[in-house]
Amino acid sequence: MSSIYKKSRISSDNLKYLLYFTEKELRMNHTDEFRIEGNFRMADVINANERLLLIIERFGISLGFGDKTIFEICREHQLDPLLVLVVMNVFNSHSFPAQGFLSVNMLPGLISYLKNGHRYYLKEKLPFIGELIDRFIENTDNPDTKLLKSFFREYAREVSEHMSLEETTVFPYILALYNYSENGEPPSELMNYRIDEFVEHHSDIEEKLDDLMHLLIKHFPPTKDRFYRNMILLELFNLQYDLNDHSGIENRILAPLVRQLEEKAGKNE
Amino acid sequence: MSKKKIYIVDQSEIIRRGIGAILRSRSYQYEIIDSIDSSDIQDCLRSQCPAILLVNPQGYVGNKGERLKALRQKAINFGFKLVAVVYAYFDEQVLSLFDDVIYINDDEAKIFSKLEKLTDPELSPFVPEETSPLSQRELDVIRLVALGHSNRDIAEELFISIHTVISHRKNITAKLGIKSASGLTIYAVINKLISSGDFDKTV
Ligand SMILES: [Fe+2]
Ligand SMILES: [Fe+2]
Repeated sequence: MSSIYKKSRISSDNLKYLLYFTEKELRMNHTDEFRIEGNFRMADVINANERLLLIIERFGISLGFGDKTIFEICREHQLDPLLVLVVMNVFNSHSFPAQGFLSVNMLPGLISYLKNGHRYYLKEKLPFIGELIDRFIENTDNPDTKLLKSFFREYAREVSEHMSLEETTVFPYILALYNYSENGEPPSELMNYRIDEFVEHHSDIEEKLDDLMHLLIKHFPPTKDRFYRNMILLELFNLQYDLNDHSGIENRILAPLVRQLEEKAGKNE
Repeated sequence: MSKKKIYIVDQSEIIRRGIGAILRSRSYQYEIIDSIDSSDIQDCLRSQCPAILLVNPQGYVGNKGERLKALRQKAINFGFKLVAVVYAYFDEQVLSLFDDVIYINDDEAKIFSKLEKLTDPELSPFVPEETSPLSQRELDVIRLVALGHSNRDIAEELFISIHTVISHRKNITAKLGIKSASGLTIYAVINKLISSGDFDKTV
């Protein structure tokens, strides 16, 4: 432990974090999963779980980092290593850290991470899947497959509405609250909203995704094209996994942190 | 209506009697049985199944989580809800195997709202029946959903209650893996329950 400390000059907070994962590992006796720690080399981590490519991209980390450790890369990019590790571990093993390991200072970084995720879903992933659906329809004889196009368009619209609500209402509220948390009284308009409202109405954006997967797996009869049908499914599985953790981070990391801020601002009295 | 049984299992007498007292103070709808450890739960489960089992996860964390998983399985088999009573740190992964968690700081109102949520039949998660083929009634419901009818319309049209419609829809979702109305519409077209011309009208 002391050598890690020297090498990357991590704070006591970071140490606390490392301890959390070591402890957890002992307690849960996980054999199939590994905890990502700050002194791991980023290249090794990506090799071990390629899904993490999506995560580092959203933190603005580009590939080509040689043998640098996560701590080193975070320092270079001025990222909060705790936040990066929390998010990477959520994606790696679906394990969420206990409240004590999170701090409200993570909020601005977390929000920009989530926004980058939104941009990826709306501008890259969904359009790409839409194109695959077009190819699938072109390459199969079954006219019923055309229905998938409008179904998917409807789904993409739902996702887009969901995310723009977060970006226009929820995130600005959080950032305003965060900015005022240091400077005394929050302005009155902030008092009208509560993060629990968001959590309660945080809609499920995976329902139609699930439907689409079942339609392709079980219900459409065999089609001439198999390549695109499989490609669509692989992409949908991917998206489902990704969105699941995205929502998980919103509900189980973002919201509890905002609740802390609200309490501090005296909103719950 | 018969009382709902709640079992409380915890090493601590303070906790057992404390929770028991809170539950009794406010509601007569619960029958409360407490026990110091889980060994006699086994027999209780066989003879009289509780609606809710409140346990301290501490007794179940060992053995790579196997004991907890076994308890979870039991909850599914016997159809009771599993609630953790927590006054020490537990991992999220441990707590995620419970239907809900009561924390030592929860007040009476919070505890009741959690328990009420769990015993409300409307809210109970649906247990899928086996993959039996769709019944004629379920096919009727799918067709009407696909044509854009609301649950209320469907109830009127088929002369059944809205609750029956909702339960048909739950069954349909469990059997087909399709939840949304537009997803069911596609299913209906593929299976010629409606024509694709009808589909154009609804979308
Ligand atoms: Fe989001
Ligand atoms: Fe969201």
